[in-house]
Amino acid sequence: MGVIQDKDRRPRDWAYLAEFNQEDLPALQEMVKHINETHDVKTIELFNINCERVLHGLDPDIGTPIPIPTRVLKTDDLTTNPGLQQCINIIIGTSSTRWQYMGLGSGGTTAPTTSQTDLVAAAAGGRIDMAASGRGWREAVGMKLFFGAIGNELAATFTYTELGVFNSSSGGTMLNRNAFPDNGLTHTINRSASIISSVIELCPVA
Amino acid sequence: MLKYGPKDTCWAANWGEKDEPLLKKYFIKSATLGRENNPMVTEFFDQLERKWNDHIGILEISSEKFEMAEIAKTDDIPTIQGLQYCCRQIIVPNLPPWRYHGAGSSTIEPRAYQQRLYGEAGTRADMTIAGQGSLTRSNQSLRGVGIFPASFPTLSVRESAIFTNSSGYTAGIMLNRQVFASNPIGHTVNGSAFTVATDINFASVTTWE
Repeated sequence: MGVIQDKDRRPRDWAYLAEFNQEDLPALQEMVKHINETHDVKTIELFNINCERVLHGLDPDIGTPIPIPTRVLKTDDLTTNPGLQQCINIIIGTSSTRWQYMGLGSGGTTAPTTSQTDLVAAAAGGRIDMAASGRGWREAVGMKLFFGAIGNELAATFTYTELGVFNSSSGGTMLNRNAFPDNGLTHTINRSASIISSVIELCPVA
Repeated sequence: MLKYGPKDTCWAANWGEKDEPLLKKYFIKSATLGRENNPMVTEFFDQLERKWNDHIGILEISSEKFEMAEIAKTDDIPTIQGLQYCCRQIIVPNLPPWRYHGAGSSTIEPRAYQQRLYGEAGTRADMTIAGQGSLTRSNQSLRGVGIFPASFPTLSVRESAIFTNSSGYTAGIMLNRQVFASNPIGHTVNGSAFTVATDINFASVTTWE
């Protein structure tokens, strides 16, 4: 029997919605602030690994101080064409407007397409500024772009079923759209906190 | 699932012996039309593909026409280091941009981990100078064109790449490496100018695994 070829089935754009208990919020904010200030990308990767372990029913405590999600959702979706165009504009220097905002919404039953320019049903309260201290991260690691945002317990009760990364607090260009059509993450005001983590990989195609 | 990833295509072309001034004039004019979906750059790439498909590859500037004499094409891949640098550029402001196009004669197969041309000759074309080429976006593609003058040293053009630095390999990054191993174009010093044009398509590959 010859060698079995292990096909690369990794998606090139994926996202996690992770829910936490309210009492974990200080630790979450500390973690996000730490990443924000030190660019400690290892913490982001450990966080994402923890999400994967919770998803697969494994013990998420892998010896790190990272809070453990009570529930995690994951989706593999699309980078949009306008988002890729803006990335190239940044690369060649015709634009300096970088990705900074995380948008959430409830239109997850509409499938993502590469031509979309906005969330289908954006949540009230606006997008989260990932550049604000303690509110998120934006990091490049290898051929991956990591984006993350924290939703605190005071945010209005809402069921999140879609998310996207934007370059403006309103309007602007949407880099990607991730939809959770089957089961969103229900956030309850004054009870739960959440972290939204989005990953985009630019792996060359042979 | 959809598979993502930048895909690289490159054309090397020889032009007529007296066409170098027209070629430079074409890109000087092109520079006035912006760097996003520039119609003159689109026309240039369309003509490269026409020539590759055994038609006449011809351009016009100021009512003067000039024509490709020879063409080579290859499909290769961007380098890992090049894409890592692109990711950093997307997140971190004020990094040095992709700027230079180099050409060489090595037939060593391209690999994603390579960081140099193995038979580089002459001086790299500065794509920020209109008469030496251009660096633009066309839809989801990054397009770089390097114009190499007739005075460029004699060589068989078998490899090319885009760099952040004007020379050397110890500093700076190489974005891609293209090899025309089986169909190089020949260049003779003081003969005619040649161009190397690269299209790196960042769009999703719409095939399912």
